[in-house]
Amino acid sequence: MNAADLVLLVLLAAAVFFALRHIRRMRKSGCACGNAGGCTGDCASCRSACPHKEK
Amino acid sequence: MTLKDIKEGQSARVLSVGGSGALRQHLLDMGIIPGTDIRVVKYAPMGDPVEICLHGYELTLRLDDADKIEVEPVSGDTVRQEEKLPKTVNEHLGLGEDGRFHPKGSGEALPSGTLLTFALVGNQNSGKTTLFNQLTGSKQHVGNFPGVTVDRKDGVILGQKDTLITDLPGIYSMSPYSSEELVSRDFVLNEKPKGIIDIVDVTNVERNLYLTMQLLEMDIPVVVALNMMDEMTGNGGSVDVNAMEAMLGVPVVPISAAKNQGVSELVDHALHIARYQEKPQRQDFCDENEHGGAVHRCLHAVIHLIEDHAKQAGLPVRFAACKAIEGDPLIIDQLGIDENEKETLEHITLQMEKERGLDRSAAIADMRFSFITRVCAACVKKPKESREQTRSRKLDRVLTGKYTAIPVFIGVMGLVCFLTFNVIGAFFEDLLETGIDELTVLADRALTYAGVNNVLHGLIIDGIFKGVGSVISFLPIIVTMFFFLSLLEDSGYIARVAFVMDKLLRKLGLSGRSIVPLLIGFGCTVPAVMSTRTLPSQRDRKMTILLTPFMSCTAKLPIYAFFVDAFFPRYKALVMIGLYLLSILIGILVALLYKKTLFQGEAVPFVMELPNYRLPTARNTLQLLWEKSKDFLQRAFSVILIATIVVWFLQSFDFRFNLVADSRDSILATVSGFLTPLFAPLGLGDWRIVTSLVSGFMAKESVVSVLEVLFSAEGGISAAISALAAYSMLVFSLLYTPCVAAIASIRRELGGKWALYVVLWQCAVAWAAALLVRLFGILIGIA
Repeated sequence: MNAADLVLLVLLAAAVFFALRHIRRMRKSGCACGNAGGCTGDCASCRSACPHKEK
Repeated sequence: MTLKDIKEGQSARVLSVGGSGALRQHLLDMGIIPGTDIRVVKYAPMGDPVEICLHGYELTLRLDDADKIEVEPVSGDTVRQEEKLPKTVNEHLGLGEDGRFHPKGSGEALPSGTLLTFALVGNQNSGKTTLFNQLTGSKQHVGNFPGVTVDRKDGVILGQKDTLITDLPGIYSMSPYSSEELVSRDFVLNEKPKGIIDIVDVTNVERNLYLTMQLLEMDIPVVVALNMMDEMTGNGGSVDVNAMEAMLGVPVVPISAAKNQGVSELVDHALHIARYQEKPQRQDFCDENEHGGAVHRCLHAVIHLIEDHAKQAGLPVRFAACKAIEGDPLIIDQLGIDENEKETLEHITLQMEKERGLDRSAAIADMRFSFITRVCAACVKKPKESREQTRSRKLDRVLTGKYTAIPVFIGVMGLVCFLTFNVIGAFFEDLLETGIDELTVLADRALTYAGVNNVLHGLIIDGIFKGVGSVISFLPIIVTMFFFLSLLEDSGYIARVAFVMDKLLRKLGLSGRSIVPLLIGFGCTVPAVMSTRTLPSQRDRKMTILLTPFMSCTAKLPIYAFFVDAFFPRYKALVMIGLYLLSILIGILVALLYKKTLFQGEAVPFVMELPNYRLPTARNTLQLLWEKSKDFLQRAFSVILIATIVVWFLQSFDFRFNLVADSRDSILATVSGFLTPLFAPLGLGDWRIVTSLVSGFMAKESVVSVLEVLFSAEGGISAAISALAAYSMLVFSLLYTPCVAAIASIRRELGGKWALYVVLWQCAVAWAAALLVRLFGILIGIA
């Protein structure tokens, strides 16, 4: 394994980490429409109110 | 004679409103009360429903419902003219301003730090969300058809940290007619906000003030925001704001939410009335001299009768009295009055009905509209016909014309498809595809140059670049499609489509309003399912939700584009339009099946306001495009990235985690092999295709990324399956289960059982349709 492999593996791991975190946040916020970073109330997919921002 | 018998362009005066229950109450709340003058604007191209004009706005009604409204014809010159009151000079009362309504520094202010909660209430399409966005700096979606907002949204007023403002779905009165209207009524009644910002569309002031009057009865501080004032003044109209303040007893602030004019003054007033709990100065709108004071005496008698019960139940007395007279069962139950009191209530109401000559609901509605007429006569100078109305009337000659409406609709949708798939979307797609290909070649060279491990090299180039890259290249098509859908929606055209299509949809057991969720379904199933909340009946909602998956969402576009590019490059638009028509045709057949089986009976009445046409704002459209792109890219680099890596891994290794030379020996091939026989009759008995379809349940776009990864080594998909099998695959993809996000939203609206039903039913329909396509193809010798 050379240095380039190592760098790529680290980058790949970071990408997977952020992707999984994004998916986890989506699941956690219950926002099925895919808002990053949890539900902000602005829902691009929904083009309307995010349905999950209820108290 | 009923309203149904009135010809286009003729006017009539309402004599009585028949029918019963929520619909009748809704008609009364919309201003169809005895004595009102109504003009029949036009009948829909198929003869039903009818568009009428009353109180200066347009409403649609089905002929069956119009038949319940007894009228007498009136000629143009006998149509009642607005009463003009002598002009008086009113001082600005300064309600809700420091130091005017009570001495500065005095008053019973709420302790500092108390959270000031506000409800943003108003009629549908009055601009609540636009104002909400201005107040909070948020970017909620706004549209130009009634019922864009279907749920409450909260936000903090900019620069005011102890505030919380809630944007509520639009309502016409405090007698809820649909489920999202119930959200608004329950919020005001149960959550008791510290203040209400009542947004009134000043271009349609009569009907909007009807809700205002009910809000004033809630015993909660209210500030009235007269929205679209710029439009009013631009057309030569005006409002004597001081006089209106004096008559309503609450602060009235002219604003233009879209232009952010008057909003800071509105905030000042709202904060003040909430902080000092300045309740409306006037709640008593019944006139003791009007019609012998029958309603006045009845209302005050009932107020005294139920006062203690209302206080105990925590209900505003005047509001509860009106509802008790109208016979609202929810409020009567909440009041907990005994049999004796119920009888007394009934006697008082009967006496009022006898003296007034109107039934209870009509009498209460009439009392409110009479007051509104006085307010408008004293304070409002309306332009005869605004520019927006003139423009809408002219456009409607073509867009809802008897012979032009349906051809125009088909033409518009065809043009949208053509521009999306053949011109604009296709151009940018090619551009992006070239860019991604160049980038892939560059990355490939760089990795080879750096001597990167072969497995890692394969993962990055054949997995990520091919998989994710192929999905990203379809971004322009999706964004272009959304762009056109947003233009149609924001302009007000979709509401017209509902009007034109109502009769047709009724034959399928749906209401014209169902066209809105169904059209949104061509964008994304999730908001389509959400938007069914505007439908007033549970039956219509369920049926519409179950039909939305038949409308092909934009996430499926990459699949179509992928197969069309590979198999039918010369007939791109034709195949695409064919697929859309097929989905609509199957949707119609399924709707007819539902009508005969699961959802027997008639769709609910079609009572909908037709908004004026408006030019969509560049800001709104660009914001939508940006958010859609952002959302798509986020999905590409999260769900699709992970799916691509997992698929690459499973197809590159066997169960002992050895790298396989032939992907037929991989884990993925073995697992998918179990499902393959099921797809063999469709000509899709290839484990790679089965895998891609399974991955499509997570996100439709991943079908393409998986296909790209799995077929990249073997000369692409066109070498693996026939054109007929490709079309069969397209039909299956068109109809099979929607993605997990859509299923989640269906589950939320209808429950787990129905969500599971949708998954299984859509798969079964898709399988049957794909099989039929294949059999038909074989029969005519395509195979």
